[in-house]
Amino acid sequence: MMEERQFLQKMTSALSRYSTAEEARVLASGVRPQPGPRAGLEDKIARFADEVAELHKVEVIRAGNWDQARRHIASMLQERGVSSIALAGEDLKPSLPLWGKWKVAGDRDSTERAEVGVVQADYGLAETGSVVLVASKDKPRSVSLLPPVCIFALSVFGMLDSMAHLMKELEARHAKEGMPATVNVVTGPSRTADIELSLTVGVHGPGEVHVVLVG
Amino acid sequence: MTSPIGKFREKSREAMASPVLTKALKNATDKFIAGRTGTLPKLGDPIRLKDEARAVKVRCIARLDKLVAQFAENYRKNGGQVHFASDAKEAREILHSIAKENQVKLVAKSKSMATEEIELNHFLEGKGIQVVETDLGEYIIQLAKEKPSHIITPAIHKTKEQVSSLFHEKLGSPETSDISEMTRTAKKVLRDVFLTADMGVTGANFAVAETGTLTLVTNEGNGRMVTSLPRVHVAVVGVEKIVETLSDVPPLLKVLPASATGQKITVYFSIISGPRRPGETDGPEQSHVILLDNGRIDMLGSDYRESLYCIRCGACLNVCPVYQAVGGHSYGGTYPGPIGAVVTPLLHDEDAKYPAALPQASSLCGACRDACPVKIDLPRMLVSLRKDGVKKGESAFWEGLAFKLWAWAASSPSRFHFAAKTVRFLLKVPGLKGMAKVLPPGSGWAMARELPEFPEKFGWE
Repeated sequence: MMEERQFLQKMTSALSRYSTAEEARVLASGVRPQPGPRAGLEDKIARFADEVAELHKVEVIRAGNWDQARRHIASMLQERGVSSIALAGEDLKPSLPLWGKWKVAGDRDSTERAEVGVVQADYGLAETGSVVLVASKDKPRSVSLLPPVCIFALSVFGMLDSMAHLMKELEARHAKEGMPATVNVVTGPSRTADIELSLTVGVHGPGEVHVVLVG
Repeated sequence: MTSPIGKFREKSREAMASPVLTKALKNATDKFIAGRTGTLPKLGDPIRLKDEARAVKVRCIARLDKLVAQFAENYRKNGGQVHFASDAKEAREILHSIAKENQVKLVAKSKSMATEEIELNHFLEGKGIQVVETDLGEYIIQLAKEKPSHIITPAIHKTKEQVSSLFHEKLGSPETSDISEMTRTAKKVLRDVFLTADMGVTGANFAVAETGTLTLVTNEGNGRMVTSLPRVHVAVVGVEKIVETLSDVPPLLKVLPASATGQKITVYFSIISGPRRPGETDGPEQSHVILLDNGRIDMLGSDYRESLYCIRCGACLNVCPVYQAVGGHSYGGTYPGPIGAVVTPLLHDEDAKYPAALPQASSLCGACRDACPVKIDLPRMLVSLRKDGVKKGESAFWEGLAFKLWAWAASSPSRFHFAAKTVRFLLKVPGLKGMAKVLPPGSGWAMARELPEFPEKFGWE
């Protein structure tokens, strides 16, 4: 197998063989991508709600605090006649008495059988109506992935303007505590258009998603 | 013996003879073009968006050696392992040894052009390891034992009727004309694959040097599945995918889905930095990256460097009048369309059937350059490849002879005058003009063009 040193040397020598005026100009300019201006919280929330309505085809549900949010989610589950759920996130702890009515998944296999995943998101992106999930001990990746329906709950204080602002946030996090193993930006239900370009929703991931905004 | 260009023409004629394919191609390319031109302006001034995206690639590719070293260091810091492969064979062997070490029996794959390029599936299957493509389009292609015909929608050449009978034959599902039913059938089969696979294999859309991160853009969720559920994750990544910082990603990510499917953003964007951390209950226990050269480093050291800016969006395919007519399979390699015509002769694509012909598969109209979200000057490189081909003696015998004759005639006034008068005389001979249109070697050029009328008296006569 090729040695790392040899591989890198080959690259260095290739780079030295050729150059363009454009490269010189771009490197000398020192220009780096900058995130756009920040909007106020209410503007971000309004934009987020518009984008979610357009891309997820659902209305954002507002809740004043986490207690209200949990109760709202519980009534959604009850209305649908759901019996098994999977939960992920600090404010959606399975140990809360509220979830006593449901069979709550404890491992991957039961998560796979759960009818609905309820997941606390870490950030929202106003520009695209996306929710951002940072994997951690109490937030397994599979809860937002395996059940056919997913309800995301997100604190308004996690609302960011755009992907570029999320990257700045992650860079700061990286400098402080290292990168999380996985961050997923989710925008709407799983979809495909691989057969005759006909849009079909819910192929591998959840086919239905809802967003509850808290605060 | 058929020349490379002859083989390309042969394949193209076959493709154009199929009305089903012609219709599918028109439908797809029209839809993608409308998507791209409709979405980009919603995200900002398209000219500025393209300039910003290109600036990132120009800066990062210009110091790619340093970024690759930095990426390797930081990916290891995150707990992952880094491998270097100079060609497809090495990449396959590295992957096989990782699979062997971990007693892997089943591999779940997410869509990746790099793994198509190294012909991974056949190789692993030959070693007794089952490989399943999990992107719906790739899965269809795999069942049909074909190659992708488009970078973004690999099964674009298949009708729903063909998919239905394929699923019926291979999976035993009942025939149907309902696309969502077919999707559910595939979902069910593939869900079991996700849950039981020992290894997930992906490519990467962008990799970040500063944080040792891989990013993946998907819509179906299969990319998340194969990087979350199997115990081993291996990513095969062309070196040109590496950018410097996380902040370098958004300008590229903004133009990628918009130029590919016309989406503002894909459903899933995964930012993966090594294996699961202590205490986490899912995510791979082991993560590997195979950094792939396979001709890329030679491109880096030549005036084809610009082709490494490509983010594989497929926009150049959709606007290309040649691709629109002949489809992806006619290119006879992994990468079709204008970008394929440039990179196939340069990459060590073992599967390429007639790479030398591909730079000819263009009218040099420039639509690809205009559509490209990172403004790659594809026509310039196609011309340059044609020149290289002539130097290597790859041009047609007749073409070489014609230009030698032309050079001989044009380099002296008396020879030039004599030649012009001879041609004028020949074109007047009854029937000869008609024959020139149908007889080789001139027919290829003349059949779609009017031969010039020569004046009774030239100006110099």
